[in-house]
Amino acid sequence: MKKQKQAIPPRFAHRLFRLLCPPELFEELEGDMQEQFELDVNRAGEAAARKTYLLEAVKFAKPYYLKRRVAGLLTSRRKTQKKVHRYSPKPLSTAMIKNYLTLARRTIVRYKSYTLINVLGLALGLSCGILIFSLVNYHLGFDKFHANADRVYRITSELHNETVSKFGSVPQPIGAAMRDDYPFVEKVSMLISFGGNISFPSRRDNPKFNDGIAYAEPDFFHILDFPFLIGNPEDALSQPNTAVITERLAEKYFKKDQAMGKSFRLDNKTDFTITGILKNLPENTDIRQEIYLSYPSIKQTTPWLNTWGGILSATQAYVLLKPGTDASKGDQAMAGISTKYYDAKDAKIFKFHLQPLSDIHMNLEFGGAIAKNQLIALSLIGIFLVITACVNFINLATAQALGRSKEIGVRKVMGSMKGQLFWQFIVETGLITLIAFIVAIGLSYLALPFMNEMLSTRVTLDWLKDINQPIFAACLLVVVTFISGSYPGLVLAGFQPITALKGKLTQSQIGGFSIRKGLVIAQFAISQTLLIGTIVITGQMRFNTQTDMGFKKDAIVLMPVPETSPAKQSAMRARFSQLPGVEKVAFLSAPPASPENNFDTGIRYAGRPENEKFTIFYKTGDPEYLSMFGLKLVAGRNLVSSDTTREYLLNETAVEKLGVKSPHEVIGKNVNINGRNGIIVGVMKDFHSKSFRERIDPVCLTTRAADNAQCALKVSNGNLAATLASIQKLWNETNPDYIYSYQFLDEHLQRFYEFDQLILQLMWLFAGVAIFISSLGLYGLISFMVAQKTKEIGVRKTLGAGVGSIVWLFGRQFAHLLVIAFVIAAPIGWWLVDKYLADFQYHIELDLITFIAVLGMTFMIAIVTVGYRSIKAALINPVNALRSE
Amino acid sequence: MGRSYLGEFEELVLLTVIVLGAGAYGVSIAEELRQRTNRTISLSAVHIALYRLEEKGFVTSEMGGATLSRGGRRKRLFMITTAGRDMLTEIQEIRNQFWYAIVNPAQ
Repeated sequence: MKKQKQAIPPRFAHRLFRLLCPPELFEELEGDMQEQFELDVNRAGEAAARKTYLLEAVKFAKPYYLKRRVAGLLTSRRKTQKKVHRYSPKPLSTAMIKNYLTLARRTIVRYKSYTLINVLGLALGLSCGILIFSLVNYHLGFDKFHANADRVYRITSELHNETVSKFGSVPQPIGAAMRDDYPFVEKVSMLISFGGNISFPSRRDNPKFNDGIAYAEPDFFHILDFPFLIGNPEDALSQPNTAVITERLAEKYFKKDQAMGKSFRLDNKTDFTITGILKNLPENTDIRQEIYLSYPSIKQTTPWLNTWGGILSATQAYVLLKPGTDASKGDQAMAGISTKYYDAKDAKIFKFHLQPLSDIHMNLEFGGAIAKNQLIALSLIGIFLVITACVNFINLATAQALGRSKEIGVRKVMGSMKGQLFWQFIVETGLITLIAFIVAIGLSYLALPFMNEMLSTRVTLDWLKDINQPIFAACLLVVVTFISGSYPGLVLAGFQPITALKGKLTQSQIGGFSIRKGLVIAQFAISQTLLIGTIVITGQMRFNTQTDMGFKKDAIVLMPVPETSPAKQSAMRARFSQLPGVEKVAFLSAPPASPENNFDTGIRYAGRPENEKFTIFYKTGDPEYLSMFGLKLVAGRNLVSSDTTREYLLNETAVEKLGVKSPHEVIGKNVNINGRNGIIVGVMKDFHSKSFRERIDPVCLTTRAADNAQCALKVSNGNLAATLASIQKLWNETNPDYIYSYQFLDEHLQRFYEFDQLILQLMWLFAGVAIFISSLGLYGLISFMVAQKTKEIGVRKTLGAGVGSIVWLFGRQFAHLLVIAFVIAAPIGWWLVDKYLADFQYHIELDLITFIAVLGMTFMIAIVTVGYRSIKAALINPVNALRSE
Repeated sequence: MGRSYLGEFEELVLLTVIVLGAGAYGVSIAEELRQRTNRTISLSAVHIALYRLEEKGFVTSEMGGATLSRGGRRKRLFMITTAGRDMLTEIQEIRNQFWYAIVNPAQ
């Protein structure tokens, strides 16, 4: 009999039907559908039947079925069901997810050390990721909240002398010029900021504060969005002697009182009335002043500022361009400022440009906080750390897989599908990642204050305020789970059950060994490079603080002298000298070396027609200066305290630069320094006037009480606390209107190396993280190797190999890896630290010991990491190892 | 619990279940209805009615044996319950009263 060709319902329609049909009804409904179809084929022909079938299938999209279908996904049983209809479990059905979770929980509990190592490794990588992300996110979000941010520009200046110097600051009159000359400018405001000494003479306790102030025009608050809580810009800041402060300062100055209408005194001179309160400044703005003084007040407090010739670093100008203005055209038009307001010679020197608001935070040339490529580098480090953590996880998991091959074999024999096994591993990984993630968030919260302090940032981890952070966290969780879960999942799920059960899995089934090795080498190369850097920078820092700078710096306290009249100074001297712990008193403009208050000026020697080609550091001090700092004279005599005849001391470098052969020759010669004539009376032995980065510069010392700004006290070491307390008391008595502050000279000098200190801390941190991560990588590798070589060890032991030779079996391989890593790391490290040291005029020499130490350290770390696992493997009873078949 | 009522389509399906007796399942019911009513009857609608009737307790069901004709799938066979019969009778009585009232409006 001829077999009739079976008519088949349309596949698409059938699939649609399957999709829509609740699983527990599937059998009866599919049967009915099929029967109906066959009936229709006989009655109306195949084409018509297929059409009807499709229509029928579509009609299953009714609420009744859909409701049951969705309910079926959530619970596998229904009350009305008479029997549980058998259906093949999909890998991601509810029941299976429950099962995966149970299994995952059991695995995690069973392999505690494995879980712990994985969680730690991942948590560290993830918290670095989270912190770096929040830091990058923080820097990218600066000054973005202003409504007109895309039209706001800051005016920058360029000075074209021999070299081009760039500033984010401008001459003060430029604001008015912009407003008058350029129609494309909608609003302009100057912002001139200073440090301020705020006091409240009207109050009995007269509290004093140091807070930043800024003179701003009312338009400033229309250009940038800093909303007023009370008052408005026009009313608050148009009259002289009015001020606006933030809510925070209002609270700080006046406690619960209303601040409006109260007044304060600036720098003990000018009184200001508070006419407005600003909302607190957001964290993500570079404008940090919290006191805004009305712009007309500046004529009174800083009248000398109003020139085109000088650029004070605190003077900024913000402009709001009219909508639709082409900024580059505007920028070109700015050339008009140079030609209109400067003479022909200066017009070539002074150039002005517009800088977009978004560029301010990112442009290091104009004092931005961080450059875009630094952010990119940071992000790359973050990605690298997260990926390394994932790869370590993969390493450990696949190594672990060998041990679990039996489990997988059994599960496969029992009917597990590949998809189910795969999802089981993903769920397991997901659970571990989740735990690691929670730990990581905890770690990040703990580490955040330290990071903020180190980098002087104000990063917050507020998941409710900034939507980017939770989104990032969720993505990170999913991505990490899939990256680290899918590879082991695929490998394990792909095992042949028979080989898995026999324990005959080989390396080729587990994935490449050389990739793992490569990774460990890379990790160690990075750790070693960082270690080399850390050791060298630590050495240089020790050199910086311990090397003799050519003057004494111990037990010397520096404090400000706010009023410099000779009478005031001698009164202070008289009182300080009487203090029991004070050995010496000297008034000076700056100590021999100082990161600040360095005044560089011109010098003309002994009737030469023009100023010398070099400039000289100008310091003032009384005759005590030399003995205070232990400076030696190589020729001539010390200064004599007098303000009528001007006497100068030079240092040896200055004499040399003047082209005079012997220091004795300059004694008694005339010299003009900073436009004042005087006589050279002595030559000081050279001392370091700046950090070790720089050569010793020419320095001169003279007596001029008006230029003194500091008082140095040599204190005896006994009972320092009491001495410091009595010094403070005395200072406050002699300077009642000012705020006391003091600093030890050696601490003051540390500020030369603040940046290096930061780099060093970061290096320690990164080196620590890198070492930890590479140890994990190593641990993963050794676990993997041990798992693989169980048989080999068994055979070797049966043939008489000792523990030592078995440990060496592993040790040899790792020694190999470390040496390769070192061969890569050493030249890179050498090159980097050599570049770092080249920045110092006076520095330590690179020596071999550093490099040997680094190699030794990594070996130690490797021995600790590898030792336990390999000794454990070596001690195993060979019977157990061999019996595993 | 409030009383359950029957919709028009449900009533037809229930009647069909009685008419077909032991052979009442999705396809046969749909075919019977098509013949008798001359309407387009979809399987999905018939099944919804059947499941609702089952939930209301007017029919019971059980799985029949597998046959070759349906791709090896078993049928779900439906039978009327006493409650179902009572319900139909009640409906019929009410309708009779109405028709009587229409025919004899004086009463």
